[in-house]
Amino acid sequence: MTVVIDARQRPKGEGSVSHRRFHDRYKTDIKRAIDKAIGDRNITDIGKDGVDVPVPRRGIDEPHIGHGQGGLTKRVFPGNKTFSAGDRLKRPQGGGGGGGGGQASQDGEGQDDFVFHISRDEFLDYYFEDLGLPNMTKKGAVDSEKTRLQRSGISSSGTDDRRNLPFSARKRLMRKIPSESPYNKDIIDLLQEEKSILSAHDTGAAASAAPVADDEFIPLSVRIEDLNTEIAALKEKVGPLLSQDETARISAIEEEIEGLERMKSAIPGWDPSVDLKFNNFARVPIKTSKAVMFCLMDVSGSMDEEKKYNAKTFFVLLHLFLKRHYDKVDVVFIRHHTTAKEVDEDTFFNDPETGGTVVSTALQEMISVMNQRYPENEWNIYGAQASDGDNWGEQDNALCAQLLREQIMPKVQGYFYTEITRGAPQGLWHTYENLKGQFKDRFWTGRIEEKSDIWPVFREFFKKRENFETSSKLKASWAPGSP
Amino acid sequence: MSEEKKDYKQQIFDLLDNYEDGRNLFKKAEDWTYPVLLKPGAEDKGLPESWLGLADEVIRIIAHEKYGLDTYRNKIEIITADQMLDAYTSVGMPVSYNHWSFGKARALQGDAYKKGQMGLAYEIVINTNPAIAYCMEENTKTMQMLVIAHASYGHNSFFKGNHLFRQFTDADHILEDLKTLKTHIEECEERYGVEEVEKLIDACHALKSHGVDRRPKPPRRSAAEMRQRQEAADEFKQRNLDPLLDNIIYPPRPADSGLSNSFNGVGDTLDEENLLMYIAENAPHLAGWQRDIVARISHVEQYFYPQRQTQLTNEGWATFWHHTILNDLYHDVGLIDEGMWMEFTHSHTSVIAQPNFDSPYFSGNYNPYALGFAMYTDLKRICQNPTDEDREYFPDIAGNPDWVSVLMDAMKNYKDESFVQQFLSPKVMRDFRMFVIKDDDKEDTIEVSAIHNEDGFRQLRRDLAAQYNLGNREPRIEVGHYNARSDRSVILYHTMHNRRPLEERNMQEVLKHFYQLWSGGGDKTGGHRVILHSIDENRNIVKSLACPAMPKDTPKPGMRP
Repeated sequence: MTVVIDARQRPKGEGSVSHRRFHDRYKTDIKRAIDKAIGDRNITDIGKDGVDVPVPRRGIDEPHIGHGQGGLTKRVFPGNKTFSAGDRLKRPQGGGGGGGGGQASQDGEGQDDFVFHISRDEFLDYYFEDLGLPNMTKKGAVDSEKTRLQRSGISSSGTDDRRNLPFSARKRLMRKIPSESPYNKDIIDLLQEEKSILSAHDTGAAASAAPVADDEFIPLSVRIEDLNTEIAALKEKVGPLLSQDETARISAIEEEIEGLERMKSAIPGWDPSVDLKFNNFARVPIKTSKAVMFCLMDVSGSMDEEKKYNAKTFFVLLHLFLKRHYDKVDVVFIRHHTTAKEVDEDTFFNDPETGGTVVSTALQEMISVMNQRYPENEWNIYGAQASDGDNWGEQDNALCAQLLREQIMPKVQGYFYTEITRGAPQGLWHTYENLKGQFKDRFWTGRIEEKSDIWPVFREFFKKRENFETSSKLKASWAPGSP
Repeated sequence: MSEEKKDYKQQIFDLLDNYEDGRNLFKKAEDWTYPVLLKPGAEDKGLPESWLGLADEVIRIIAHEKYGLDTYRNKIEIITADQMLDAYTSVGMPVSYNHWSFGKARALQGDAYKKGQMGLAYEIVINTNPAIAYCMEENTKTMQMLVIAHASYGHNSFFKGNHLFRQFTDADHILEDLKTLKTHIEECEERYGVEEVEKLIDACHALKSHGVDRRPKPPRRSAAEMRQRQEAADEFKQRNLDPLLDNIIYPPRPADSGLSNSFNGVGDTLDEENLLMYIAENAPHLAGWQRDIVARISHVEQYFYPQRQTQLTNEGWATFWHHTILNDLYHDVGLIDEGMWMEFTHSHTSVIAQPNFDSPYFSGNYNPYALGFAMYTDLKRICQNPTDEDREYFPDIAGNPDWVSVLMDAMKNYKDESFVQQFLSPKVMRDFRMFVIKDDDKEDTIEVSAIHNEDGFRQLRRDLAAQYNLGNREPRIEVGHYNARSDRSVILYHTMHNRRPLEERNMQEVLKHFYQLWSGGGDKTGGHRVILHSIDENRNIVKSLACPAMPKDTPKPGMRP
């Protein structure tokens, strides 16, 4: 016999390895698409809905053996309307004649790029494959501002929109059935007596008149109904045969039943004050792990558009990366030239205001924001600074070092300095290099000369070291060449 | 009504009488998840306990008892749309090895499906024993009945009956073979690296259309046997080593550039059309595991080879039977109601719609469901109500009282090409308003060379049959020479048909893959060139491709070296 199997629950594991292989193959295209996405959008929007990855059709076609255009072809088509044998027609454009119709599409000419979509998670997996976050002592502080409603049982008071009708109906039955049942039981006893009186005369159907077995599964009210119908039938049948005593007894029984029914009906069928129940909700604070990321950027005259773009790219990467590790990531933008100011993202990247360079102002601003809004026991704090390293005087460099050493580094989980410049490292770089020795586990410096340096620098920062939490959900694929 | 017919009806009614809903069961059900209840006393008879199982049983009784279709056992699996996409991706097989191209197919089709550009098939059926039919959970009850009739009885009987399937495929073992292939490839990936294996499979896929035996051949030697023979030969050589004699028997030949003007080597071509197998057995640098994978992929291709040649016949056959069986269910047995009948008719008509050549929906080919269904239906008509024309064209079968056996014969012993050649009737040609377009690149215009009239019927039929001939559709490429004793280059010959050239850019890529298999990457060994000559009817080389490209000073084809 045929076997019917419901296979809907079967895991869809079959396709997934191939799926990943396919993505792996177009890694460069995926990365290019991500780069483009980074350039186009705001820091916080990037990758929200995943990324569309266009791949040139030519690159994705698998080669196959096939015929090209030309030669002699004959093809049979359906739907002749006006043609007669021997008619000569102009060769249609684009397809190389009727014969080519099928093949023209195969060689891929004139077709759009093939676009596939990768989800946000997949895209981040690719991007942050093998990277880890340093100092993952996440502070899982409770964010007192954020709460959410959570169901917490049933209450007997509440607003109308929270009425739980199914539960109320059950409640009602739970009250009503037990309080009625003593009366019902009495009624059944009486009815059974009446029935036995009647059925004594019903000689023909003694067997069918046997009392209903004590079947617990038949509700009392149903049994009453059944008995009533049976009695009505019997009455009709044997009514005239009854003796006077019996008739009197029956009417006594009926009166008694009527009394009981009246008592029963005094029990309210629906008592809103008792029966009506409401869903209860309670506000529960949400526990989140929070991080704040300070973006510090130099907007002095020496930072041109290209450098700013590189800085932005770096910040974007950092933001995405942090987002993968924390439920909530705040971003604080601080731009500085000779003075520093906290600004919104748009101003941060696009405002043309510019001037000289005093780096310490930015650090001071960061410290003040940190102290005001981001207590270090609740927040995981990260600092990212981008500058061309061209600070105004050795004095300020020393001040920077001091600020960092004394006020910033003790509070932050990580501090990343990228010097975006061509040529020899500037004064700030050397200052920071010295600091690096003191805070090995959370102070990193990197140099970005070209756009292409950003990624290596970023990777260097987050290269998985010992005790790092793995950022990638992908297992490192098996490396060829091992035994 | 014949005795036999009463029989099958009675069987169905007897079966349904075991159920609470009796003969109204199919009408009453809202969908295929409807619970069927056996009457007390019927529980132990081993009767189907699901609606689908019961529908299948009723359809089976009609298919087997009334018409005598012979099928493998059936297995019906209910799956979701996602799983259907997965099934598409793995070329319809329940097990397939991992390769990026399957992921690509999944991405492409999933995308098209999400955008609404493509509907999914209602079913996929797999030529295994038992035959596995995938039915989508979204299908309505009518659709499930149609699908079961179509896949589990139509296609299934075709798989079991058609001569190509009988010759080329092994329904009993294919699943095991595929599983072995899958695990084997996984093992190789672990031992030799994913990249290495992927490169190998890429190359196999490029050549896969030419990785089949087009004619049945004596069983091939297994890799182990090959190795054994090789070892024996080597040992013999070692024991009887005589360089002098060797030189006389096998004089070293100069490297064959393969570029002689006129090709006269008909006698000594290898004439090997299964490129994958040839590589598996002869490529000089492949490791054992690589040969094994190449051979196994060729084996899988071989399994699909009949399918490529029987689209029209197979789909037409399944469509004919779902139509016939659902008709019986409504008209004859009365198990389904008007609503279900309308729904069936609606989907059946859209399945067999044939857009005209000037319609935007025209795909470039005939809809195999439409043409196949029309041809089988017309065959039945020719048996039952033959006209004078039919008697002229089909003297053997016109008026044959046993139409079922005529159709069975047509299903069993033909493939698309021969089926059209043999059974395409003038009526079908007229109904489809067929015409032939002759497109000759030597002329400025294209010509309507035949239409659906008395003069054109035979030409139409010949040309349509040729169109279904896989040998015409796919370029004919064979291994011509293997210069085993010189530079180990290999020469392929493309025998041109109607002067049709190869699609060059693609072919160049395919040759790269061939070269990679043949030279094992090439870097270490210096590489052995792979050359492809296209030869015209006069045995002249018209065009040559090579990988790596020929050095510049090589004489061009058409010039004697």
